[in-house]
Amino acid sequence: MTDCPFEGDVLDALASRRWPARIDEALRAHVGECASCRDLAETAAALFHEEAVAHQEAHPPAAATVWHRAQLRAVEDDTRAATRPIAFAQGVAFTCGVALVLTVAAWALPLLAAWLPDLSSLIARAPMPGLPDVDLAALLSNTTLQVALAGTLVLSAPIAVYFAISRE
Amino acid sequence: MSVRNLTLTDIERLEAVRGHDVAFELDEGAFRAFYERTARPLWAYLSRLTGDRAQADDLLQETYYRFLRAKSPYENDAHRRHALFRIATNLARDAHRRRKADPLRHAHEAQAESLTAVDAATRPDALVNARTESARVRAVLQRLTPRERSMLWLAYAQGSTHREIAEAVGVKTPSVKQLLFRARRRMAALLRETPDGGRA
Repeated sequence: MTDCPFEGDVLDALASRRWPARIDEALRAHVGECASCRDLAETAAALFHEEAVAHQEAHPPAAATVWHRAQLRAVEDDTRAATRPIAFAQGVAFTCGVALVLTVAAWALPLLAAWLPDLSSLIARAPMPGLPDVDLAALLSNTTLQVALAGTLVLSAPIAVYFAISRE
Repeated sequence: MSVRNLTLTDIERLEAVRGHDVAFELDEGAFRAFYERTARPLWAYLSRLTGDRAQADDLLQETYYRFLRAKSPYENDAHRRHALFRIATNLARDAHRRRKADPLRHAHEAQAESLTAVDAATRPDALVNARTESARVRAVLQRLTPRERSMLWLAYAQGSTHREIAEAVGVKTPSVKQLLFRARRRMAALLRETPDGGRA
């Protein structure tokens, strides 16, 4: 890396728009010989030109628009930040609710399993004219069916609670 | 209040939050004055850094939002302006990373660039020359790394000091001189090897 003392002069000439037509011959001769100054002149001239083009292309929105959008966004962000603890508490409450339902289900499942055969024998004894001859006692004492019924209860309980407490 | 560029939904939402103004680092009057001085150079910087006008529009809004939310005590207008460009540099760098992770979108942008070239080809000669030179410089800029682009633009288009450049791009101040020298050499070489778009 070179540290050419003429770099400042080259930049001054570019910034004051004297480059390349109105610079003194000594500086022109130096830039012709110094690779660092030549790179600087070409690069800075291209960037000066490009900055002018981009400046003309720029059509930024009105200041009021940017200000009011920022206000809106700030209110939304503040609201989101303020409601974050509430959302967290709701999540914790929901998790606790699910855990409670699962605990109760684990406790109630053996009771349900013991109760279902009694219920099935009661149903089987009840007269049901018009229904096909199905062995309901055997059907309801089936373990798979018992698990399915218990699962349905466990899954539907939170949904039922949601609909019960939901405002809509 | 000027409502240019505000949609009906924006206006409705503004009505909803009326009376809940958020305290920013500047009041609205001071912000407007600052915005009028900085919006165009900032947009120019973002558009050349990203190579995408639509993205520059989005980043412009985001930059001012973050600037207003920062609530940092600024010593003077130059300090404030410098902070704005530093935020913009960080946002553009993040956007570049996201683009690299999403090549499909990048392909779409490349198509948009080619459409710009076709558009330039249908314009009058003087304008075409200016546009072609600009397209050449933009093409060269896009071949540099984002850090090189930032450093060169801040140094020569914005006239930032080495310290300001260092803070904006996240390098040590003594390193700026050498990094800038390398970036400059690389850009000059690319300018020489990139065709002059029919003007040569």
